[in-house]
Amino acid sequence: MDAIGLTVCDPPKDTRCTSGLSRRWDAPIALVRQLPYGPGPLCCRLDALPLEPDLLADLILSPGEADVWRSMRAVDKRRHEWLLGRTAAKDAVRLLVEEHLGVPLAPSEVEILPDPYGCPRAAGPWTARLGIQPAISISHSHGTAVALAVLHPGQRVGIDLENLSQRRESFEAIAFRPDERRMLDALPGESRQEWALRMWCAKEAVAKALGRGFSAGIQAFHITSAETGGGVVQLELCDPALEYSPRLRGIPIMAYTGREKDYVFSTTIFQGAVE
Amino acid sequence: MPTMTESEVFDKFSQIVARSLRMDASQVSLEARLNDLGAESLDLIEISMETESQFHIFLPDKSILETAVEVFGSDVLEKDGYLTEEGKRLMLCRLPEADAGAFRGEVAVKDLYSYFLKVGTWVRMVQALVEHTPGECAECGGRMTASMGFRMKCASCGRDITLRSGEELNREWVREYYEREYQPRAGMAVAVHAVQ
Repeated sequence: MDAIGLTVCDPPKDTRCTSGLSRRWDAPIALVRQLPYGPGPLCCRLDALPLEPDLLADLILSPGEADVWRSMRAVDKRRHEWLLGRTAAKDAVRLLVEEHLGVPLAPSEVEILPDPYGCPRAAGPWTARLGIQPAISISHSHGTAVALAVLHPGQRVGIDLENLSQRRESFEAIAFRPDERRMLDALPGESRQEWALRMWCAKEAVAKALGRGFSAGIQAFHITSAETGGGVVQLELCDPALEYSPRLRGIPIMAYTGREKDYVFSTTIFQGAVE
Repeated sequence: MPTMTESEVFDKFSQIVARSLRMDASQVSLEARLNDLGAESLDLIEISMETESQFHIFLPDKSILETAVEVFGSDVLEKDGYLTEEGKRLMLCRLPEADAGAFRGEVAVKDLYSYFLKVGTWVRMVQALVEHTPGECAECGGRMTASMGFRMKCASCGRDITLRSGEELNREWVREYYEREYQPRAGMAVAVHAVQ
């Protein structure tokens, strides 16, 4: 860190510097972009706090967010991840709005607030002024945060990021059904751990996109196939998740997965399905 | 049945949390929430599995409220996303004094998730489940030791038992509550309605 607390990070190869504090990261949306999803999606990534945390908070948070930051009773790791996630999400929304509508927004104008179910939403007077409501999703793991944003009305997005290091196989017993574990058993040993994490990320991305997380239980997100060549994981919703998304009964949901170094990620985008 | 004090359970549980989240155990307190300590979804799964393994217990897959809703039927315990008075009564009956404050006033069901992430809630749940883990063999009084999966084996006579799951114990408690506390009250309400 230099005298004013700046940290210079080496950007990963597939990232591009943005006018924000985080960087555009195209890997999680490479597959999604080939599909007709309208404006966006746009993904931003931040691998370390670019400034001293309180200084960064002063620069980017709205007054309401700053209250949350100051009153947050959590360990530094958790507080820093929260701030990283907010920074990446604000950048993703700002870049999307600027690129597609030509309107520059300040970070503090883009408030990231939880909805009644704890799902992050972008808010501010600009949403009414511009007649838009971007959908966002945030994930963080091991000091890296990513955020995905779309502009298309009614679209739901989910992103999840996990680190391959220090993960044991034991979570599979809870995370997966017997038929899902059989899919993993069929994979060669060296890719099994990666695919277990990809399949987990796919479940979590879909759970986030539906806006209720895993409140319906992990088993309600059932993986029906995993295409190891292209990274596409197909899921179906089961009860009790169908109670809040009945229109998804029998509809396959696609989640796109990938790996970069020690990180595995998954993204999903679909038209609103939560009643 | 072996019993563990809240302090004994907390000491052991805080070590599990600290190891999983790669932090110092002194940062774990009864009032802390696992997500505020930095736990992500997969960490919660790992903490659950390690807790089951170290305490020889089966944690329930569902919250006590979810199990109770299955037994009581819809709209009795929760309606439009909020606990009904009956729902709050059940939760208060189930929980020790230390947790009761969370169920006063208007309680949104979604807010219970944050409550279930409290270290203290986990500690008290584990403490209750440990009481159902046999310390001695019912046949010969020998010491029971952990065996494969959720099984225990007597070190003296070799008797093998399967531990009761938290889900099963929760359901049993809810059924008893339903018959002992709710049915007499609900029956009285029906009788009053009939007279009116």
